Amino acid sequence: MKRPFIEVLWGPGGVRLLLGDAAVLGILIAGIFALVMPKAADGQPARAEVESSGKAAATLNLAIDGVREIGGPLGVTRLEVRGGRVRVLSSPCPRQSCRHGGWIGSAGEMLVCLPNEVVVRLPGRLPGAPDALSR
Amino acid sequence: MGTVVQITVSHTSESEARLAINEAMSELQRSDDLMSHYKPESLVSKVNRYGASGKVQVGEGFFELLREAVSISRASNGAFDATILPISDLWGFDKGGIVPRNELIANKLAFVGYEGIDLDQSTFSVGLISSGMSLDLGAIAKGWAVDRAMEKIMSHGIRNAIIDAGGDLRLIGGRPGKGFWRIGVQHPREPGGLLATFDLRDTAIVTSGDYERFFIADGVRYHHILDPATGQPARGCQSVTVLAATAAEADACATAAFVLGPEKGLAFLRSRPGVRGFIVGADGTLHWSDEVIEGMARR
Amino acid sequence: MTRLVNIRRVSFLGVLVALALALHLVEGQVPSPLPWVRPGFANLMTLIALLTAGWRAGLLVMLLRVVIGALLLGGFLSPAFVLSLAGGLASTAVMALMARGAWRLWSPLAVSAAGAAAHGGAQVLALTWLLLRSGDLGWLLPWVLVPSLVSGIATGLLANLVLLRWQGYFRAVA
Repeated sequence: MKRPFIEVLWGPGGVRLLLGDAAVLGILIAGIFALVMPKAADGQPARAEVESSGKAAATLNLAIDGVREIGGPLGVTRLEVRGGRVRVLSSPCPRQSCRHGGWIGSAGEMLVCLPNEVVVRLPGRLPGAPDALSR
Repeated sequence: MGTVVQITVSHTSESEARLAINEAMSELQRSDDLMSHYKPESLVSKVNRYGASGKVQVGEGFFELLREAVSISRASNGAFDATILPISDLWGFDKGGIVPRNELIANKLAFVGYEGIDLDQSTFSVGLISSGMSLDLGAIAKGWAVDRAMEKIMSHGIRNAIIDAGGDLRLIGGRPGKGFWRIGVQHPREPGGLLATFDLRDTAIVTSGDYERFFIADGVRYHHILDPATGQPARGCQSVTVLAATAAEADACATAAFVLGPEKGLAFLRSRPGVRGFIVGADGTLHWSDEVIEGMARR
Repeated sequence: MTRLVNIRRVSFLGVLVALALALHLVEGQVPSPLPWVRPGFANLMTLIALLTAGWRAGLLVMLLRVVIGALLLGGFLSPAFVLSLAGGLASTAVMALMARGAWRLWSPLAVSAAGAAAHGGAQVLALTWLLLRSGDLGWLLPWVLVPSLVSGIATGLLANLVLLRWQGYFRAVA
């Protein structure tokens, strides 16, 4: 047996555990927690709420990249999540103004496809951010 | 209305809040049904169809709106004018937009003029002096609808709320524990950027900008705020933000000031009691109506 | 020149594969709310092979277990097979890397736990890919990772015990 770097002898009947075990387990458990509880880090929202025709349709985990399809009266709007942000990848609407919104990634931001009745909202409010925007 | 509406309410009873919000939403819908010139059954469409051949009864509420519209038209020397529909139809902003020929604009300009709106207070009815005239209340209707919706909210005893109809805001009270709402103003040239933020309570704030509805043809940007005198997009400002007691007044005054340009627009805002605001000129410089609002801004 | 084959090692690995298969088949009979999530004790054999005879041995044991297991259970090239294979490859890769620090920085417990986590994660990924990316299965992760981690810890403790107790035998045979 190689000489352990840091040794913590523990365990009944010869089960030998080392400090590194605690470290690795700690990291794994913390990692799972981080996935389970999408919490805002750096003020970045971790979830996007998607509504279709006024009703809650989906919740996107912004930590996991991917493409999600949302159905609406005109067809399928495809949303892309990448790097903690979301955008409309494609949509059947004539003017495509929803795509001009580009990527959103901050609390309170929204993407809207009016013709296909799809709304993507990032919930919450950054501590210094406005309650409403006059535009 | 084709806009995204968001209503925020802070209240002790969640069920009461939800009820109030639903009623406010219905009221917004109702207002749109009455005032949208796109809907053939709306009061505005009726006036547009029959107004020239005889007065149309519109009821007290709508009459008040038209009266305010005419009053602001007068005060702004026609910079805000609800009879602009013949011209805005030529531009077709909601259909992608095309640049109309100058002769067409010149022809239709003859039918633009708020003086042609004939108001009869005794019967709450409206007429139009000539048959080529038609009303487009777009520059004041959203604000009006927001005011009506806010009345519904207040009728439930709610004292802290924001109604946001596509960026036209009316707010009462403030964030719980804070006593005011933090309101940001869109930067006209930076999508997602803020021009300024204000801590506000019990006021309406509306911004008119050249970035909201526009199209680009041959490298030139044509936006939807038309000058009733020329039929062309007003070029003096990038955006105008107005604070007033009602959203309808803020809405109409913002449009008027935009058309008037920084100098005349500021003078116009200053002339109205209880109204303040600021203008971002075409060159990007900020003009404040008074030091109070300048002092309130956090940048 | 004939290549020298280490008969002892071949037999040893054969035994490991057989044991792994036995465990795999027995585990398969146990009903579970998440059908593809198994306690994973069969991985114990992969781990032992890896830690005593090197990563190639570990890989071999895992592959043989997965393939023969699928052939025996009638699921060869089925979706479950793909998931198994994905999980197995990922966990073997991770365990092979973790093996570098085995007995010096950490014990087989950590190796097994990390491997189990990789196994679960890879399975969720494979499932998402299988369903042709028409959805986001990220929400599955905690449901899969927690049981995987638990079984990985159990397997790891067993591995600790076995490897320490019989280190003499392993040294002779692997």
